[in-house]
Amino acid sequence: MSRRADPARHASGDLAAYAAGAIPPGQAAAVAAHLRACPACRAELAGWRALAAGARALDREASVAMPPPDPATLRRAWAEIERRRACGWRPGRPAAARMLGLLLQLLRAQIRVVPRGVWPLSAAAVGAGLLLAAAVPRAGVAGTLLGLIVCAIGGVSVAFSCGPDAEPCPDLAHSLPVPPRLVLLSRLGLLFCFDTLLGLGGSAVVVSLHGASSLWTVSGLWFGPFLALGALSAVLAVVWGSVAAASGTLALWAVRLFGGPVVAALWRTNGPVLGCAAVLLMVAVAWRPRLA
Amino acid sequence: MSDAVLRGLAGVDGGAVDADIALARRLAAGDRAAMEEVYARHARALLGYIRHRTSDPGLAEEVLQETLVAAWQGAARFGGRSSLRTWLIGIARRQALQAVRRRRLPLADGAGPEGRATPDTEPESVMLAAADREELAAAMRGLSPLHREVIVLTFVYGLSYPELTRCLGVPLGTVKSRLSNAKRAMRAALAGRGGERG
Repeated sequence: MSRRADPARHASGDLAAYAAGAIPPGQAAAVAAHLRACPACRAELAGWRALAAGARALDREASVAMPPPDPATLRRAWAEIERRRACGWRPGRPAAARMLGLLLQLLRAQIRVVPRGVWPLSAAAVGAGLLLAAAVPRAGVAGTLLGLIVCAIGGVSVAFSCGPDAEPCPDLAHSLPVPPRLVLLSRLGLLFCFDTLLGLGGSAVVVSLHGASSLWTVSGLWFGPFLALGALSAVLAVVWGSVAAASGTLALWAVRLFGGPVVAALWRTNGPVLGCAAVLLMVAVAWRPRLA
Repeated sequence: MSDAVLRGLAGVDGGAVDADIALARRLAAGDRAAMEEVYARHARALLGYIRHRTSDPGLAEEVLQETLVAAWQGAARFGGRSSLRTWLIGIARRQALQAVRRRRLPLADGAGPEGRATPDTEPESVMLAAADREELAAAMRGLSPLHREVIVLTFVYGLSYPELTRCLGVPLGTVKSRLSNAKRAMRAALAGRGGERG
């Protein structure tokens, strides 16, 4: 890739690579042209070159002190490869167990990242919702109450788990060989699963208390809006941060609470709402790498 | 985007990459001579890199062994988007992190939040340029592992920006800001050493 020299713009971003000699020839020529006309960038380059010299000096020092690799390491590595081949492992096809292990490791890491209070507070909120639901006489109202609570905890828990302030970066980015989008997706999956289980448990209790509706009908009162609100919260969290996400989702939630029958009619599990949730989720995942 | 285009973007030499791809194919096919060639050409550099991440020589050899096994396991997927050495360093990095975590040793620290790369200030560059190599090497030893790693990968192993983004698993902006922050940390370390001497 070649890039024209732009005398108005400093070459700061490329000088480290230029000093390391790790830059494509066309780009190197553009940087060299800029350097001829820019004393500030020449001074900065001198700093990078000194840094490079220090790094190489340290490496030479370490190389002298370091014994050469032990040939037994190669023998042991080959013995391990032979053992794996004997067990049916083939290059390029990671064993299913290894993939499953990686997935579990990824999910376990997400549990550590999600703020600790999210799990008990979500469960407590659903418990409180069930107490309210038990006090109302009609199954529809009880289900709506429970659904509103599930939607609120979905939005808020995503808000505080997916923003830049929840990111233990670069620790997590370092500890797992997975791209940041997959990390976000797995975290959202974990939160959605947990909240869905809570919501289904609550819905089952509402059905058993009132007996008039099916589990499917009661769950339909909240499942679609819950996914859409959670996905919206994810978008707001990755773009503007946790507080904006929590405020935005709670504002929308309040619109549903006080918005009357028109808003209530839109607050359903149907194709457009689920489609909305899917689009928002894709936006959040697409935006995620910019967080780092 | 095709591998050839990506190679062009990374400034990778096509002939050398083709040789690397051929070596990786032989390795994937279970050719022991290919593994010996990989070992002869890259083991020392890999061990040097691993030793930047752990000071335990036994653990470093163990990580090297796991890197060679993982390289065989993943060799079929090597597409030449970077040099074979860069690809192996990426594997060694992951294996080192896993080994350190298994042994519950401290992970590379975060070294503070990583903001956008900011324009360099001249005194910083002047201070670095004025320091002698011993001072610079001593200041390097005092850097956080995260900062030392990006400097070592850039200036010792010569990884390009696209290779650094793949190896470190972070976007280009983070690579650049990490380098800038490392440079700033070097300046602070040099200033501290100057203060100690004074």
